[in-house]
Parts: sequence; structure tokens; C-alpha cells
Amino acid sequence: MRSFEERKAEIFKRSEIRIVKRKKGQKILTLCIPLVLCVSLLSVIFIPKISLFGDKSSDFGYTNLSDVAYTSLEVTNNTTIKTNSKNYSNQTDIDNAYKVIVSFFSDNDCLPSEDNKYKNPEASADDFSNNNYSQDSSKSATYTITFSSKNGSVLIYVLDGNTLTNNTTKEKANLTDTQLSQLKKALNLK
Amino acid sequence: MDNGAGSYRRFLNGDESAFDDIMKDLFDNLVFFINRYVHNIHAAEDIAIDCFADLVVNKSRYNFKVSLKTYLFMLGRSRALNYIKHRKVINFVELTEADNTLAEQETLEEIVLTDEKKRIVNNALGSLKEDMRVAIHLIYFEDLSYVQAAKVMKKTTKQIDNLLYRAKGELRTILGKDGELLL
Repeated sequence: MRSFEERKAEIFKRSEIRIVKRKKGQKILTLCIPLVLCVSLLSVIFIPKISLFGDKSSDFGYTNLSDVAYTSLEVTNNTTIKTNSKNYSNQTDIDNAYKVIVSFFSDNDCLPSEDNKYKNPEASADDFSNNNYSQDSSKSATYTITFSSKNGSVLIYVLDGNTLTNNTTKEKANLTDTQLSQLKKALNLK
Repeated sequence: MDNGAGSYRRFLNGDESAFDDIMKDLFDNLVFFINRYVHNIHAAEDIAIDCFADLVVNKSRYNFKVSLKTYLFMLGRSRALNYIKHRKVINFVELTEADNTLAEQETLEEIVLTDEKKRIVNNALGSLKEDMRVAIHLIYFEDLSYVQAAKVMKKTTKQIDNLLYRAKGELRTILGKDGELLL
């Protein structure tokens, strides 16, 4: 066993070592805490801004494209005795067709079919007076336009003459001839 | 003697000689107490040195609500238990070293247990369970109160009372009827 002096020396030696270690630890903490605070502040301030800037879908008047990416499009002609289906695999064509259709429904006044209100953002009094709307639906074809995504979600529109109906939300859009030809062009329909 | 609190206050105020007084009063007793747990005098001394180093480093940790002796013994007990938890299962010691260790242990006994009666009781304590041994040690060798002993052992005073009652019963068996009188 150690003598009294040896014990005392050992006690003070160990206490000095511990004090030095503690000071080192405190130094590291004083450096790390402000760093952590800065990083957390930056993340709170900037991450919401980044996510806002990244959401460009609202610029085009539609939001669904960012939520669900439709990867296939099928257009079925229901007018003929035998229904003809046309499948589209080109993603650009599919996106373009979707964009065109959604733009017809982008007006905020659009209401569900129960209220029996029809939306037509580009219609004007002249259109009505010039009788640009095709009133005779029996002559026009009926198409079912089906968008599908990889995760299984499906969006169906029905084009009956000049009336385009969203089967899910039951919204209807009464298209002008210009819009109808734009849609047919996007869908490669005659 | 106020169990070291007054000396520690002087030490905190800058009087380094007060630390010598604390060491002289409490160091050997602490080693003896820790040895009850670790059964290795050198390890007990090492742990006791650590406890005293703790007094020097963490000056604000001792709040003077208990006696310095109680506080040191609490520290010693927890460090001893940590030591037991982390030490190797089997500790081989050379015979010559074992003899030296035994001699040192006996010397420490002579220093701490100046009373012959206490030495007789100490020799009989080996056969008791650890808790009983420690309780007897704290109450009869270190003259701590039931409350202080309870703080050191992290038990209630009722539990200390029970331990002492059972320990006395066992000592009666070991030392005979007269043995109980030694306590």
C-alpha cells in the first residue's frame, strides 16, 4: 500500500487529469452547440422555401401531374358498334394530352354536376351567337379517355360531343370548337 | 470531529492542509469499507483514491446535507460495485503477492479497528452475506447512524434495521452468546 504522501500525490494527479479532460470536453461543446443551432435554424428557414420553389405544377394550372405521374393513355371510341381503343406509350404525348384536358377544368368556378353548372373558361358571347358550339350531339363521337399510372391510379374522362366530363369528380366542361379540335389534336383523333 | 464537513469547507476556501486532515480521518476507513466489496486491498485503495480525486474535481457536488464521511462512503460503494461489475471473473495472484496482500490487509485492520472487540467481530463477518457485513461495518465500525448507513447502502432505515437484526442472529451462532455482546 502507498504511503500518505504517495496517496495524496496520486489523488491530485488524477484530479488534474480529469479537470483537463473536462475542459477539453467543454471546448468541444462550445464549438458544436452553435454549429448545431445554426444548422437547425437554416433547415427551418430554407427547407420550406426549397419545397415551395420545387413545386412548379401550379404554374401550369394543374397539380395532379406532380402528385401522380400518368404513364399510359387509352382512348376508346364508344360511338362505333365495335369500340376502338387507342393506346399511347409516348410519355410526352400523354403529358401533353393531360395538360390540355386539365387546362379545360382549371377555372375555379367549376362545380360538380349536381349543381348542373357548366364551365367554359374560353367561351364568349360571340361563340354562342356564332353558334360555335355543336348542339347536335348525336352526330359527334363519344370517347372515353383513360389515364393510368404505375401505382394503379386511374383518371377517366368522357368526351361526348363538346362536353368533357371527369368521371371521378363529375365535373363537366363545355368545349368550344377550338378547344375540341385542340383536344382531338392532342389525342390524335380525327 | 464533524465527520469532515468543516475540514472540507476549509479546503474549499483555499486551505490545502484541510485536505490532509480529511485524508487522515477518512482514507483508511474508506479503503477498509471498499475492501468489504472488492476483497482486494490494492483495488480498494485505488478506488478510494478515485473517490478523493472526485472530491477535488467536483467541489460543488457535495451539498453538506449529509456528513462528508457518508458522502465518501456512498461514492466508494458505487465505485466498488462498478469495479466488481467490470473486473475479470477470475483473478490469479502469485502466492508471494497474496501473502503481501494479506499482510497489508492485516495492517489496515490494525489501523482501523483499534478495538480488540471489533477485530473479533470483523473476523466473524466473513461468513455473513454481503449486505449484512456492510451494515455491521457501517453501524459498528464506522459509527454511522441508521439514517446515514441507509443513505450509503441506498436502503431504508427499516431495511438496515432488519439486516442488523439478522446479522446479530447469525453472529450469535458463529461467536456464541457472548459474541452478541461484542456488538
